[in-house]
Amino acid sequence: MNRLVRLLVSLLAVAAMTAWASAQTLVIAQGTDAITLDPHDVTDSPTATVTSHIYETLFELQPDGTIVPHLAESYEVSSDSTTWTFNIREGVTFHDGTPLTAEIVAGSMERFIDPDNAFRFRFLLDRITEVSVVGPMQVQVQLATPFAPLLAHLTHNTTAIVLPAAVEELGEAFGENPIGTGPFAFESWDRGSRVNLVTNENYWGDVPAIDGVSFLAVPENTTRMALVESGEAHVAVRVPPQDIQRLDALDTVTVENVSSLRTIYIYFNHTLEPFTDPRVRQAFNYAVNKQDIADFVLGGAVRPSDAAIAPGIFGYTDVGGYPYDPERARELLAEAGYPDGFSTTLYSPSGRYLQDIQITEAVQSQLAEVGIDATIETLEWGAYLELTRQPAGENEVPVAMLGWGTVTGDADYGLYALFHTSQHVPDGSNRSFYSNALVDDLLDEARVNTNPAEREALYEDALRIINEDAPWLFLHSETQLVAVNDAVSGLVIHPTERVLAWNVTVE
Amino acid sequence: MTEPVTPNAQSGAQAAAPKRKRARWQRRLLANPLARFGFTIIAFFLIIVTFAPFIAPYPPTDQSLRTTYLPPGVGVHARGPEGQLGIWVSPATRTPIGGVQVDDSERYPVRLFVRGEPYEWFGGLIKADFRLYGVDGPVRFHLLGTDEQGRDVLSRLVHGAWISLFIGLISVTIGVGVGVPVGAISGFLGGTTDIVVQRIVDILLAFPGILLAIVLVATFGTGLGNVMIAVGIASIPVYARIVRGSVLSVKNREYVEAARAMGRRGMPILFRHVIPNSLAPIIVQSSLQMAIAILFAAGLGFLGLGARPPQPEWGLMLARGREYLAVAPHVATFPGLAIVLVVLGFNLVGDALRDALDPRG
Amino acid sequence: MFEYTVRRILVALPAILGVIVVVFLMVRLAPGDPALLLAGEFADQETIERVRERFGLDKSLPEQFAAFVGNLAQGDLGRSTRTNRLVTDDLRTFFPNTLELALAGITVAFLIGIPAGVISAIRRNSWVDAVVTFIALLGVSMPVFWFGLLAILFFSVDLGWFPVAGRGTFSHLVLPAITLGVSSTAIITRMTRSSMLEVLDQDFVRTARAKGVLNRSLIIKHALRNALVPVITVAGLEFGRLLAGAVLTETVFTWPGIGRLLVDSILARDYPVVQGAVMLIAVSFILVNLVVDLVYGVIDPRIRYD
Repeated sequence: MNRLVRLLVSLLAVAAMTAWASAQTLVIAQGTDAITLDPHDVTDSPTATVTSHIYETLFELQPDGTIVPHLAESYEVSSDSTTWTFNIREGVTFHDGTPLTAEIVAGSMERFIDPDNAFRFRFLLDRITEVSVVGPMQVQVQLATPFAPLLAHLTHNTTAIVLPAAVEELGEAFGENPIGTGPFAFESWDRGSRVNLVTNENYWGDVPAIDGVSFLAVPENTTRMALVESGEAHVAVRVPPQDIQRLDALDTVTVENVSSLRTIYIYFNHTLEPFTDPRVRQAFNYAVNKQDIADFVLGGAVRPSDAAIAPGIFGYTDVGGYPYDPERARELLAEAGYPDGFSTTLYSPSGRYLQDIQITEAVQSQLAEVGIDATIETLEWGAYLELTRQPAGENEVPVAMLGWGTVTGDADYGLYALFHTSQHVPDGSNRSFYSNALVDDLLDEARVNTNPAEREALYEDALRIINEDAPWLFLHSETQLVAVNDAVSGLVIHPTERVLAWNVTVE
Repeated sequence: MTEPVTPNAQSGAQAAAPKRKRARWQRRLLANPLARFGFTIIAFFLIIVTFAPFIAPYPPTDQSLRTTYLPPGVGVHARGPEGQLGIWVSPATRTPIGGVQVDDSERYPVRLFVRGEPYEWFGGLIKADFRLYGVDGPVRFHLLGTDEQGRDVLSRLVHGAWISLFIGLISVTIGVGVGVPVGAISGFLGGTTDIVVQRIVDILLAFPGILLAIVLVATFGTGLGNVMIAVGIASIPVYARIVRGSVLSVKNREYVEAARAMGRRGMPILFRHVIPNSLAPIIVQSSLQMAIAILFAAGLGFLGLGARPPQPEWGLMLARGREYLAVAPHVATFPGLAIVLVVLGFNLVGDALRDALDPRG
Repeated sequence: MFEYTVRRILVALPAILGVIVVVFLMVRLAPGDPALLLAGEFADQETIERVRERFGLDKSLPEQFAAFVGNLAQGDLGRSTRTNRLVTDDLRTFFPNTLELALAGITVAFLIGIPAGVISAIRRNSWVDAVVTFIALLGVSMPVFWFGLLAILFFSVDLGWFPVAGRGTFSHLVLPAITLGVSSTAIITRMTRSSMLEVLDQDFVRTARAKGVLNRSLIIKHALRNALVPVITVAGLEFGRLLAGAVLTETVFTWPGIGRLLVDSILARDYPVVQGAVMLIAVSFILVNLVVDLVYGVIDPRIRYD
């Protein structure tokens, strides 16, 4: 028995020492494992966080919303705004030593926009008709029409520059053997549990001060928080709002609250009665106390929406939103012919967005106050997507919650796909079947106009009309709650829902 | 999540049961203190199911964001404003940053047998507003605290009891309804039928229960109804095996032979003589199956595949409450204890039944 | 015996085949389109069509099934639609982790269950027996994930004795193994008890007692050896169950096992992985049962294989 105890103690000691020895490796606990390390094929935030440490994009979206050149040093635009020339940065090498050239950049872009590869974010660059190498360090892209948000799209993590030779050589295994230009190089990947990266000592920019980064996959919230509490992880993302206060009270942990570019909303199906009547849709907006939901369900960590897109996105303007006014909601319902309210079904994801189902339950209870009897229906994500994507006429979902992350930081991405008539599902992502010719014109115009001030004005008008039409029950813009050990400094929590450890130091 | 505690229950094929013997096992069962405890738990559970709206002080879905996850005992005093004894409640509200504010200047007494919000019970058969207890004043008394939507945990537990009972009952009904005839026919007919049926049972058994339930729920959608069906289907092979085993052992007994000799054939013999003699292991299994079903449903709830909110299903309450384990442990603790208690009740009874029916004991 | 083994394997084959067909159909009939999940909530129709094409999801069910069986014959389970990784690689990564956890779980169950069962049997109908039975039944009545989370909060966060989650050192294994092993412990306890009672009742033990062999521990030792046969059978079945039923434990402790892989894949409608994982689980379940049967025969030569 004694020997067993000794054995246990020594094993624990070994475990403790291993942990100490790797103290300079930053450990980030995320909700899920990376899915693939092929940056072009990335579709989710935890994976994007990992690939953003290995791969780099031509332009970089700063947390404050400005776009700065990154792998591109500078660019020129032709007078008709359809030809863009990018000057590639000198002295950048991939992790295997290959120097970055215009040829590689062009090859990477061509791979990304190749329809056969069917990358989900291909649409970001699908207006590019041709990519050509015009000098050893110069790439030129040709657009079919002027496209104002091009630079914003080139900041998206999926447009990162990969090494075409590596793609060729590794084939299907490319996603497991990433070679990028970023500050960290790939080391190992224990599927389902962690990805380990080591610092790239030959990085062209500032070489990170830490030895490496590890990303842990910890789906269970309680477990993930326990990791950062016990010091086993330095960073834990997606802190449940109810834990903010408790974690903040600890000496070693601080919860960072950074607003995200994701808007959470509940949309109305405009092909179904009674949601064809704007008064009914407005009534929903008046009936729900968004501030209370933000304060009590989300721990005061989010910002109730005053527009269809979040602050920090180019084109955002505060257009008022709807105050909590149940009296007004009842009046509007009565005007619309529903003095006693009506029954409907409220669809909600569960576990997809921060506190999603809790929010839905709160909404349901507040709707009941004005006489709207909503039954909650939750489906697992796969079935949810399919059901809400049925074409008009077959789409039976009356009211449903969704979230939309404007990852490019440009209103075009946040509004066009959701409100333009041409984007009705299943062709686009306009699940509410909202249609307003005025809004369509404004969005079309803002897409091709390259004058920023004029674009802003166009988006402001569009946002005002959308607010008035109330195709959504506007809820809030989401926030990223990240628990960070106090020994860590320099961590960037990016509004595009990525955690970046490029400039981190650990005391 | 769990198989029957003793998987070879089927081996306890019971001898023909003369009355004298039956009396003996009943006595044995009641002499077992654990069995008595189990029966007490189940009885308690049934009383709660029956009188739910009377026992629960508030409707189970009444929520208020201002009173989210209040721990039990917040704002509760043993003395009134003038020093009177009793339970007195002060209004407690949660502030946005997470703290709780109690206004001690107001105190209202908790009284037994009060008139509260009206309710309907048994599908509207009973309409009343009489409740076991309530506060004489504009505040609420949350004996077990509130959950993350500010709902009274006790009221939800009490109103959710029938759901757990139903999950158990329906899954047992499906298991017995399909598994017993299939197993009996398979064992009784033998030959090709038996081989085919047993291979199908093999397929089902090769899927351990929880996985089968997950696959079924993913296929047919989440929701209570589907959970009950999935858990029921997962239990079919167990019943089929048990019954087949006892049928095989009873089939060639004298009285069955005798019935055959008297010219009775096939099905009548099966139903008159064979199945009644497999009853003991079926009853044992059903008691354990009630326990398994309730745990399964909780597990599915944990994976997000179970009941739909705001249903006060215990598994869902526990699964949701676990998010608050660190800040408000009571939200998960009480549903957890309720599940453990009821499941334990059925397990105790099932286990004791098996012991009592075992001729060796 | 060899013949018996071969026959058992042959008999198991249709079951495995049946499992494959059932799973193949079920995942495809389930609502939820993998192409839609891959393309995301805001993809356009064109992208979705392309994704569908990329993974051969545009083909008819019989075509897909033919392709699946054809590849299977060559040992190719295809590639995950979610990660584009070879399914065989995925299984090779995740299955050993589950095996490790299940072995640890069943070891815990043995270490606690057998002594507890023996004590319970020797002191039959005493308060000790009642307490052991009660605890065993309590263990089997607890929702696994609740138990696991409480264990993390208490032993890892409050006391700091064990790491919170993940896989690696021995100390990572302790809490998940106990959590997973709880229900098996209860089952082995109860089985050991009833098996011991049966043996203690048998003639040779009675004879030994009558002859005045007073050495209690000798009797127990002797009885236990005989009582273990059915216990091992049950333990084998339990082991098979743990292999496949560890989903909840794996989720709570972030254990990268096959159960979690399967649930994630079901939710992502990752057909190739679901098929591969279910097949592997079913095969190992059947294999474990077969081994149990064979071992049973070795321990107890009275069993005839026919």
